[in-house]
Amino acid sequence: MTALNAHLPALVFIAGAGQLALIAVSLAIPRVLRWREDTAKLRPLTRQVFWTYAAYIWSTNLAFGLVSLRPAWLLDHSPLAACVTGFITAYWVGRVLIQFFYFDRSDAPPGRHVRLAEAALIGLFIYLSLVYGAALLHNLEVFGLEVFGLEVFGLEVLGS
Amino acid sequence: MTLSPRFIFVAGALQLLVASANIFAFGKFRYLDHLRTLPIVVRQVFLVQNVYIMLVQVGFALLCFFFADELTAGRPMGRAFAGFLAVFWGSRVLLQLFYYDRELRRANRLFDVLFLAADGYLAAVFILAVVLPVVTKG
Repeated sequence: MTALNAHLPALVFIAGAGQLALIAVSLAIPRVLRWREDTAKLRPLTRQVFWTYAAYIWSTNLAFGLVSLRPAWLLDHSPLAACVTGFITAYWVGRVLIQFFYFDRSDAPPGRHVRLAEAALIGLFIYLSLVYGAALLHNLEVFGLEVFGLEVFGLEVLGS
Repeated sequence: MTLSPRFIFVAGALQLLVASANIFAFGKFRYLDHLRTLPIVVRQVFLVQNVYIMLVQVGFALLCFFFADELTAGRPMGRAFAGFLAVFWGSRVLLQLFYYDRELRRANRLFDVLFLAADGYLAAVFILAVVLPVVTKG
């Protein structure tokens, strides 16, 4: 686990770069999936809410990407860093679960490129889930078995 | 000089209110009825975005309740997070004023004003959380 701890700053930095790449690529998603044509059928308010939410998700990913370019901030063992890394972990784990258990792929565009892009995206989501999960455990000092002071199975696990 | 954490607690409560308003908006504006005309995947994207935005806002609120001191202390992580929240809520004010349909805003003037006031408060508080420690330093 100490080996993982040593590489964690680099892994978090790569996760940040990955999220910045994701937001760059995701600018093409509305065109590939023809959202503009589809949402044109909606009432103005629902259409505007759709695009506003899309923009907010995009900017949230941007913020996660930018803050991850400063791994020391996210790995400083502080309660705030633990909560932020926990939050980002839940965000990406949820995204992986939605991909596998919620999205209907029956009318996804055909083609090898689309399948490859989808596989790359899922790979990235899984990587992000794992890295931020590891960062959370690092902040909770689980690797050193010292997490904010609670004794679990004879080991100090919550709150020192 | 730093911002009093009390302003951040109020911001946390406001964010919970704004997040819960999304549930209310679903019924009032009958999103689900309108979404029926869309392909299923676009409908699902809309619903996922909606749930994610709500959860993100609840996450922001919890961070405000538990880390109000950290968000106002002027340290890098707290300032970075407050800066993001300032952009998030500041842009929400701009969208409300310049993007959302004017007729609809007029027809729902009370909600329009309440959202503008809430978003404006949130933007102002988080801007102050970022700026005050710098401008009053030394």
